[in-house]
Amino acid sequence: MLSIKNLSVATKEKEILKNFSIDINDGEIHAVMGPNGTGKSTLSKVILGSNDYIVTSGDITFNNERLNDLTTDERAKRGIFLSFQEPISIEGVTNSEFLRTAINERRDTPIGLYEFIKELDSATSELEMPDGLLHRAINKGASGGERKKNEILQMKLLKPKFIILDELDSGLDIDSLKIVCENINKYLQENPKTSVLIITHYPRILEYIKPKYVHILLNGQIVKTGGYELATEIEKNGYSKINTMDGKLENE
Amino acid sequence: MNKLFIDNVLDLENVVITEDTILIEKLNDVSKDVHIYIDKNVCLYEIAIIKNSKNKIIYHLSQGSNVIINKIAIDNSDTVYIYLDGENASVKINNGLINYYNNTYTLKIYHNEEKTTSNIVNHTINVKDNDFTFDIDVIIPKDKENINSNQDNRIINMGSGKNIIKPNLIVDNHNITANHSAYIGQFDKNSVFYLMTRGLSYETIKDMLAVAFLLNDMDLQNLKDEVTAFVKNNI
Repeated sequence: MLSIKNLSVATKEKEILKNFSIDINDGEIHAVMGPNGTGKSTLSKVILGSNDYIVTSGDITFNNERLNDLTTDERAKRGIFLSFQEPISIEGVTNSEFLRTAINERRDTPIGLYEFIKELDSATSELEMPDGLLHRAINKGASGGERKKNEILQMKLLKPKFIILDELDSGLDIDSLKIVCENINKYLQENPKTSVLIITHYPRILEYIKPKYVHILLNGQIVKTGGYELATEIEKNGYSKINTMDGKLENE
Repeated sequence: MNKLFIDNVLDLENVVITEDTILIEKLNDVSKDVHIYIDKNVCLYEIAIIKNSKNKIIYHLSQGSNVIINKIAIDNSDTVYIYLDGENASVKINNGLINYYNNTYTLKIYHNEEKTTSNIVNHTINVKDNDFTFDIDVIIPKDKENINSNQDNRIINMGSGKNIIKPNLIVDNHNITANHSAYIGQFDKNSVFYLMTRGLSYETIKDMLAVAFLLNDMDLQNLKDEVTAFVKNNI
């Protein structure tokens, strides 16, 4: 599915990711954990080809296709979806217009209005979102929680093969987090080959979406990889005692 | 409500609006001087779709009258005067302009009476490498109070043209509310990236953001689809 080999990424000011590698196979859920400023969100944006960063070395491949030279929209059309940590609002562009256009850009024939509304109604209902979303501008006047739900609504409609969840739980209350995670898990059950990369500070979300692998990212490098239990150790002991925890150190 | 439709330059004449009116103009290549008088307590709702104009248009608003102007234009060098001559007169202007050549849009609003209101949204997309200027004056005299005036001026620059905004508030009275803002730049890069992560191409996004930027504040009634197509075809 997704393979990153020896990826180094910088801005004009500093190097952020250093020789970063990860392999995520079909249907696998991986979590990348780490403290603030260690490069987690950079990783998510670099996978989608953000111009804010310079890839100084390394390759990103998706289903054996090299992504490095593809534009962001081309990567998205291959089936990669990023749920943003802080989804923005876009004045004047309605959810309806944007989502229908995004769906149609992936299809040979445009989606019919009835089919689109039916899918949208079903998804909004499952996410317990308010009516009338269709004609509202993207995230205009929406709370943090509503914005996160809107991200997952888009995910459900765009049907990606690879999902990046960047700090999904930030801004979500516990009830909304459960609803959102139930929707993601339902999607994964219906699409078992879909892979997920969860980026998070806190292990709370991993109680709802269980990863097969947990990677600890410090100073732009994966320093340790383990199973779900590694996340629980992080919760108990913090990142400072990483060397004493179970799991495989990257230099072992 | 009275409805006026003008699609011939020769029909663009001085006019007195005596009852609530919707005025729709579709004009090309026009350069005229026109006075529009709005009677007491009358509303004028104007939708103008115009290419290549260099008009001088003077609106005279009587007491309690209300003018709403929605202008979607390509290469506009109009000079517009708004005379708020009666108490409680108000004007709302939404300009969505597309610029290809060198143009200056000039707007002068005179709050000649108390309790008058002006709300101005000037948005331009400068497509190529030529120059565009917004020259906006709001004049509030010393003896006029309880006036409200707001202006939001923005230019999106898609080429390398020179862009200037002069958002002038000439205010001689303290008991008023006035705001002005100016922005010159490009489409918000975070919005572009966000939409691209959903699989939209830059060309599609450009059209989408252009329509949003130019038409967002306008109520175009049954002309919305036509105007949207007009914008997309000219960006």
